[in-house]
Amino acid sequence: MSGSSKIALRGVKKQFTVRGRPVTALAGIDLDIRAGEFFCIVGPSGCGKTTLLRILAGLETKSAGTIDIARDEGATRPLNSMVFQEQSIFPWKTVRENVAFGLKARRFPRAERRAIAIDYIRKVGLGGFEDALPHQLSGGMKQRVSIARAFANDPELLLMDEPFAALDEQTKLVLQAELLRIWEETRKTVVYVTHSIDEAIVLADRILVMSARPGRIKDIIDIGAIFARPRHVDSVKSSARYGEVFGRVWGLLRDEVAAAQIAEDEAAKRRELKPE
Amino acid sequence: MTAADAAMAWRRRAGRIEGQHLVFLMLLGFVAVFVLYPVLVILVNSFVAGAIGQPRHWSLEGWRVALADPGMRGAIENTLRVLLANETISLPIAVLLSWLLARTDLPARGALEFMFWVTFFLPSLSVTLGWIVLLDPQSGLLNKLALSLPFVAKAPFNIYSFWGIVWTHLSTAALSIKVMLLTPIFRNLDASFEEAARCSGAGRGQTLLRIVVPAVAPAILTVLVLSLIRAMQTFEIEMVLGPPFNFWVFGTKIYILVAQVPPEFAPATALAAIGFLVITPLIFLHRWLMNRTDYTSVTGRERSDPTPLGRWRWPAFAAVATLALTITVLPVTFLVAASCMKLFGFFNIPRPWTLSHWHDVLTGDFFGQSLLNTVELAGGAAALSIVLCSLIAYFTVRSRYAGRGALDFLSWLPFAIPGILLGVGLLYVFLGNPLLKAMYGTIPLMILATVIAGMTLGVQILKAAMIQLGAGLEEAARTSGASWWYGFRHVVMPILMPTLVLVGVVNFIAATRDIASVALLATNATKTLSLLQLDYMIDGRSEEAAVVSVVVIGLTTGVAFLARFLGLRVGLR
Repeated sequence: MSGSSKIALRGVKKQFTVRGRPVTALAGIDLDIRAGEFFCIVGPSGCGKTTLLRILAGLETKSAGTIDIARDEGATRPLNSMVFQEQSIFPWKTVRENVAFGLKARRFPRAERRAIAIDYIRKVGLGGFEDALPHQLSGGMKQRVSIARAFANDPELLLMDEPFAALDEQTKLVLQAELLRIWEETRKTVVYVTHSIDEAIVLADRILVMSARPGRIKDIIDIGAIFARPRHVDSVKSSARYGEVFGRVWGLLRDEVAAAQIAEDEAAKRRELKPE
Repeated sequence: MTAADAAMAWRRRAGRIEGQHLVFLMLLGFVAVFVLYPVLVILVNSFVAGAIGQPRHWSLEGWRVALADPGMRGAIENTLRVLLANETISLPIAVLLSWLLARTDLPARGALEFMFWVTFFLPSLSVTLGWIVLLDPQSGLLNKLALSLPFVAKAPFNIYSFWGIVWTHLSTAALSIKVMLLTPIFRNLDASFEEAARCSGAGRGQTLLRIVVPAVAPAILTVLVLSLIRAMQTFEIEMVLGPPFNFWVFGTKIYILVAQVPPEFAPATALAAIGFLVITPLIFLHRWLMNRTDYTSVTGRERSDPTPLGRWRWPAFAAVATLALTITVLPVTFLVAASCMKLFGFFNIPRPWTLSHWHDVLTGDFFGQSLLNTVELAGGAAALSIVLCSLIAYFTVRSRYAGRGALDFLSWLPFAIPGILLGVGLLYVFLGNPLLKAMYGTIPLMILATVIAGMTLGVQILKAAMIQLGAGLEEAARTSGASWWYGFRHVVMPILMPTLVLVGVVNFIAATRDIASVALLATNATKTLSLLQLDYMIDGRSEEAAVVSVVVIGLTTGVAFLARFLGLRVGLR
């Protein structure tokens, strides 16, 4: 294994109770994510990929298993920051206040948090919009604010939950390229959940393909061995090997998507037969 | 990678959440001591016979007296009849009004919404006095006007009747509280539902009935269940209008038992226990409704333009404005008039006007101190209730603590206790404890009583707002490295600011006009304006009572104006 393990998951399970019925979302995940790695998780809807991310973020608790996260020596920076799919920037705060939110919460001096915020606002291409309010921004710009907020926090782990899913295709391509650029500069450990195979291929060092519910590890594909860093979105997508890799990931996913669909149909039928 | 480092990291994270544990435990303790304990005291006392100070023993006498009272069944039937009439009329009207005020281009909708606030804030006792001036069967002004018409033979209105009581309810809280609670919820509703419906070719009416109303159905049900529970303890209106035609309801029965000399605590507490039995399943029904579905509909997104009313715009405005004016300006105008009359309600005596009652009241022994006490009480109640209610609502909606169900249930209890019995319960608690005894007769104790009495409504208003809000923004704060307390102050509180202002104002007003829960806790030195008003009414000095009423109305509407002004400033619209 190259690089040290930043996150080690052993036998992580998650069970919910939905209307009195137990549902297993994650059925025993064993996983090592390396320090400085861009790690993508893909899987069919409802496979528990977001749940896994939220457990890592501390927003949900696991039902069983252990998670070991290697903290940096004498670290004072936060363990993680998260970028959400839906717009989660604070509508009553300006762009700068949003980006500086975590810094202010951690009592950074005003001048310092201002400097950091402005730096990241520029990095995500929002220079000149520091004092704008969210309702003055487009969807893509709001997501840039979310990303800037997460990076400005300087966390050890960056957790991203389908951050570009609600954006149009062109905006998505631009933001993917920008995310890659900022990430190359900072080399943070990123755990990135997506349902988009091509996004995963473009961004990831490794892709974890999850099975349909209950979520298990189906396979882990080493993209870093195929597409070297630094990477450019265009060159990856026009590469001859891109189609081959895409086919391999889709091959793994196809059966799982079908299985998830069947499970969903059956659940719907059960509901119809047994009206509550 | 060292496991020790990781363990430390998790401990650090856990340490960050401990503040939350502590606040939750303190909250649970507070509610147990000041809500659960008084209720238990009340229940226990329903099985105790003998007056306070006399030798006391266990007995079922109280229950026997309560159940044997032949008027009891009639009182419960009357309670249900008033409730049924109230809800059937007010609920559909309130839904329509809230939608018009929140989601359409109704002219002057801001001002009209505010008038419903004012209606809610008007003390019901004062408004009842105003309606008596207008609708009394003998001297009522509207009756006299009607009788002056050639084809009217007998007085058409009688405020001392079933429909008189229903009308007074509708013109005070029954309609306005629903509008107040539902309008913000309609306003916060994600517009994409409506837009989708309109794009699918649905008309305005269809969109309202098929899309908007179902989307806010949990809020509507919450409001309805609140009204059902509340109905068990209304008494002010029935206390004034009911006895002249021998009409009693549950609340007035209890009140009479406690207020008479000597007070009959045992049967009163037995009746209250019956009330608990009726209300407890309603509380569980309400919780079941709230837990059933995910109604998160407010995200970080902005809201869209109002629905155009087209040619209905001005007719709708005329209807809403007429209604709003009828239930605010009309009774208040005549109450002000009555405060300047030689003889309350008699306009046809020679030279009926005088300012002597104003002079008497304002220079009276108690007025200045009562005003000061009232402001102190209401201000304290507003501040404390904002903190207490927002924390309780937050923990019941957001946390996963084992005790949150208990907290939720306890927050309902004050709603089920008639105010006068809450006062009795607190009296037992404070006089029975040497540490708390020093607080007897002080304003802080009265603040506590009014905050507890108003707790359920405040918590419910905030819970509805929090459920709709979803956890997204707060999670964003948490994952940005903010502690729980920092996120609560900088994200949860700002989002909820308009609702918090609402809760503060509602509790300020409630405390200003509260009679039942503070009546037994106040002394002459801590008497409030409402108690002064009651004193005047008991002495049969209606004109002086009207004067104090006008002052109370001035105070409450003044605060409502201030809150609206502030709400627009600090609120997130």
